Amino acid sequence: MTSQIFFNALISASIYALIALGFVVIYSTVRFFHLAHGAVYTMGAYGAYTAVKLLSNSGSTGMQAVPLWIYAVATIAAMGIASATGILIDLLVYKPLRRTKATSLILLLASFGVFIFLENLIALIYGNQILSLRTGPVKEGYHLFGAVITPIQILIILSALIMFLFLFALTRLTKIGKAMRAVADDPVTASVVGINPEKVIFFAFALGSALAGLAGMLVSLETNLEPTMGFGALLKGMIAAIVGGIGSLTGALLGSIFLGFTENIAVWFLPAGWKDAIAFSVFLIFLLFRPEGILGKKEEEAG
Amino acid sequence: MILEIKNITKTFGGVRALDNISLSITKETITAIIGPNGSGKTTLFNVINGFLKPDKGKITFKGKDITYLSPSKIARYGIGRTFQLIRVFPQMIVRDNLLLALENPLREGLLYGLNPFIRYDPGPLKEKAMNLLTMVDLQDMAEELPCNLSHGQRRLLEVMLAISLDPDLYLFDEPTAGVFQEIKDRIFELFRQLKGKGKTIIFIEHNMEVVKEIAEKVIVLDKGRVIAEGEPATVLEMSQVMEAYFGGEFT
Amino acid sequence: MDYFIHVLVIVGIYAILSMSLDIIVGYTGIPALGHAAFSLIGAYTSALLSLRLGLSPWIGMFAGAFLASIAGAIFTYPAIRLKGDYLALATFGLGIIAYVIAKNWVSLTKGPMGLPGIPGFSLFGYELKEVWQYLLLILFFVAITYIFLSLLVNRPFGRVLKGIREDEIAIQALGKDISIFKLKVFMVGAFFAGIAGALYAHYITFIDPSSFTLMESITILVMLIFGGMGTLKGALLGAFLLVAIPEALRFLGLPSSVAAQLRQMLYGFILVILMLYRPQGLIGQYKWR
Repeated sequence: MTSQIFFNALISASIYALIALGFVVIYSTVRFFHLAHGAVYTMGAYGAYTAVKLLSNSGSTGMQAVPLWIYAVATIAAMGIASATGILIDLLVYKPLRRTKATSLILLLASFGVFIFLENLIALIYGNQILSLRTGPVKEGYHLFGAVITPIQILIILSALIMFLFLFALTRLTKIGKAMRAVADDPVTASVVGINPEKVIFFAFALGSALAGLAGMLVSLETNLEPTMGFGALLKGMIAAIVGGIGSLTGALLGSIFLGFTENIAVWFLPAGWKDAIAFSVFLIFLLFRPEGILGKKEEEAG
Repeated sequence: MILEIKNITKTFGGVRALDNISLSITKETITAIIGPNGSGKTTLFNVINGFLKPDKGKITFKGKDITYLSPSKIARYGIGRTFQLIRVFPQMIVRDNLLLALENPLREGLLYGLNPFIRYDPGPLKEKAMNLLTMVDLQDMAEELPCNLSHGQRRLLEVMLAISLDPDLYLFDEPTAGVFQEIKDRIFELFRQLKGKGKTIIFIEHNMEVVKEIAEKVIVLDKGRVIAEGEPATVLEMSQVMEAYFGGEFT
Repeated sequence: MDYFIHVLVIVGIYAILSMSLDIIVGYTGIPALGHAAFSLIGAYTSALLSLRLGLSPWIGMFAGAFLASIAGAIFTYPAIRLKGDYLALATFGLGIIAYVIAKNWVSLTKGPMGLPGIPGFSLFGYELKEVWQYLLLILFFVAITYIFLSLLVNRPFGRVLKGIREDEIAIQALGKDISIFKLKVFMVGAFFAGIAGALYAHYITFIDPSSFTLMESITILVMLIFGGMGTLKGALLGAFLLVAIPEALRFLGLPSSVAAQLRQMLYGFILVILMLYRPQGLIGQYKWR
């Protein structure tokens, strides 16, 4: 029983981590809450769906398993479409606002407007019904330490880990990664040493959004697609990022683990519907009493 | 001693902005605080005012411990403040800026605000505001927005806001920076008038001419500590003071 | 004809919601993005009191508004020192928690099933049944809300609110306790939102959590920003335009779910455009800085 909770927690944590990591990559360079990240996530999922449907000829009904290569292409499609969406949002909405020196609040509101717009656009195009990315019979899960875990769930956990390590290495070893960290630390100084912040922001959106697309794709494999899927995902990812300490990759990972475990342990005592309430209570508690998160540093301003 | 600062330390992420600093201010005096950039002058004001809480130490004002009180409470006890970067209310006209400062707090309550059975007449208050504006020759700008005032006029407005509060102690942070001589003179006049009414003034200044003209006492800060205090003429000759300013402003 | 009157009733309810949000957001400068939480509390309290205890909707409405007000106070107390976007997120959180509680506390609220059969208002023993009667009732409350809030914002209390909005530090230096003012303005805003919620409940006679989502909070906010913050009249204008115009979409003969999506897309689009090009809205006195 406990090992099942452990694995469920791990799976939840991994999903949240994929979203949170992308969110943090973007936040640390632009310093505002890019809520439209949720819509980017949804775009990725629906992009994958469309790719699968197109490539496998919509003629095939549920029972025929889709070949693996199609899923691989779908993943690339998901990441590509998500990435493109993120970049477009930045170019069309955020960049002009940055030029007017908009506050992070204005940007938050604008990003919410984008989110609403995109989410409903998807609903308009694909309809409100729940769609499925899975085809073929549902694979039985493996039995591991007394718990059941499916191949997709294993894939999710591995993806989260790989992505974290990849990002960690990227930001420490590559030129662009170090540039990202510089801009995150101090954008003014960064530009003084010759880093072009716009280029870095572009890259951050491309990378962070691609991650969101990947997350969307994986989650759709595990559960289903519906136009409103982005909202919950974004909130959880954002909660994880803030709880862990916004602006740091490790923080995103820690926050995801914390959230995933808190939720799944609590659900043992409470009915499942309260899962969200727990997440938001954790969120509010951290916002009110420790907004810098588990890892964060308190920023003080000289009067 | 109207204000006593004892062993105040304030650290920001590893930097000691105020380092075990102590000083006292006598009633009805005009004191200047000088020092190179980063010596802790504004931080000191912020701590006195309550906008920052010190890590250690105690601040006593009129005999009362105000170290950890909220800024608004400290203001109500009788400390007025102006800021390095002028703070006035940008989307309210000049006269309304003053109305904010002059209003009777009893009328600012919620119930008074909702009560349909009383008539609120801002007339007398507006008169008072106009009188204050006339004192500094700003009456023609009464209905203008602050952005239409010159820098110096905005500074005057900010000073008048502090005066409206009628505090016993004034903290002016670089009040004459970037201001025309004419308005500088008006500000000096105000200082003298305030002192005449029994008020105490502390002001931060970078311009040594201003300090020599109006300050009765000078306190020099460097790296969060007091390195000298005394009469302007004496202090400004001291070698330590020159050293502290080496490479900085020195007129 | 009844349909048009119904639309006006809805305009009226949103007008009260927008005005009550305006004093918090437009006059005090607090980014409150969870306002629907307060109308939720007003609606559910009033509905439950009349359904379970048989109390008159008039009592229910005031009880609901009062409870909403208390909720506003409880929330504000810790949240008050958060800055800008963090505060916005905290108010988001509040809105979501209210929604989630309404959805999951099934024994109290019947969760997603909602509460049907809510009794309507009665005046001197005569039960209001016609839409036009409700219109008069709503207009009455719109007028009351406007009158009281106008008084408030034009009195010294309102002046301090504007001061808080303009420069929190300067106004503290003038001796005003901003925490108390913020607390009070939240309580008043929540109160009137609660009234609107109760009016909605007894008019539609059915409520469920889906009427009080985050999207609802944003809708009210967009109406306010669109009309213009900081004037109260802007709130009225925004409510009218953004309720009436999307209703016109229906006449394009679109299926209702498509119309719903288009309406949301419109709100999202308007929000972005407002932020980009006209944050002060149509007749606003204030824009996000």
